[in-house]
Amino acid sequence: MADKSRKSPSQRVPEARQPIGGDTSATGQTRKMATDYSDRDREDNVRRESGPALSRSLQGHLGRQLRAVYTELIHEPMPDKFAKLLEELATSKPQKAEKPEQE
Amino acid sequence: MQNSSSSDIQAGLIGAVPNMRAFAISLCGDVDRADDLVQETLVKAWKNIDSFEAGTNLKAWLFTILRNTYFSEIRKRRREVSVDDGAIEQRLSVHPQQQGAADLTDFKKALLQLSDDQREALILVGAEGFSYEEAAEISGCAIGTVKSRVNRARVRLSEILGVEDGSEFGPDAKHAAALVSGTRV
Repeated sequence: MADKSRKSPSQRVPEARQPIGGDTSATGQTRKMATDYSDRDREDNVRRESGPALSRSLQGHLGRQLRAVYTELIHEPMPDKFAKLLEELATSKPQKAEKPEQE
Repeated sequence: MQNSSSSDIQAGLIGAVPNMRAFAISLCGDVDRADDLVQETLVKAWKNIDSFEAGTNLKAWLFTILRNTYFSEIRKRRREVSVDDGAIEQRLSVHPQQQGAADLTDFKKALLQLSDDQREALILVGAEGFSYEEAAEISGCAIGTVKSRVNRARVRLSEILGVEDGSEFGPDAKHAAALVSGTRV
């Protein structure tokens, strides 16, 4: 349906890419975490910018399943070995270069 | 490292673990291997915490480490042993304990049939909610590459699952429709 009426490439201003952990922008400020799932905008952009795509309803269909699967995984009980590991790391090697080695 | 205290960082790391695990399991399809990946990522992150710029996206940083660890491991394995199809079959047995969510079994299998690149891009953007820009930084590729991977991943998924565009998930796609969190069309 909407595939036929593809619009010209979006007018979005491209954002400057920043290397992870190497933010050197003038503001030097946080880029906000994308915790809101604005799929709609995103899917729109895919359609406009990278050629033929699935209809929105089909994308939505797949997206819901994907998030259902992923949400299950996120809510898996977390083994506490990770918390233990971090505690160990924290005591054995506190912030290198900030503090001297602890005894 | 600017002004975050060690315990802040620690809390940030531990808070990110559930998502790191979900991402790792999605990448490799295997819980034990995923846990090893997460563990390795945490150790590397802690060792290199100085290179993390306070105020930037910690989760994105961790995901970068995790996926780099995973993909370099994959490359190493491919050099050592040629990947056999049996390995793929094994990877399909994700979470046998989740029988309650059996509806999603086909989708999980389909997901694991995508190429690693496509699956990664789809998870980052479609499941984690990273922007294309962030996903591109994490995967170390161009934004356009992420977009086309996500696009191709969706097309491929719909082929594997046998859902067609314009089908509106009617009777022909009854099976697929049932997968949508219990909703029947």
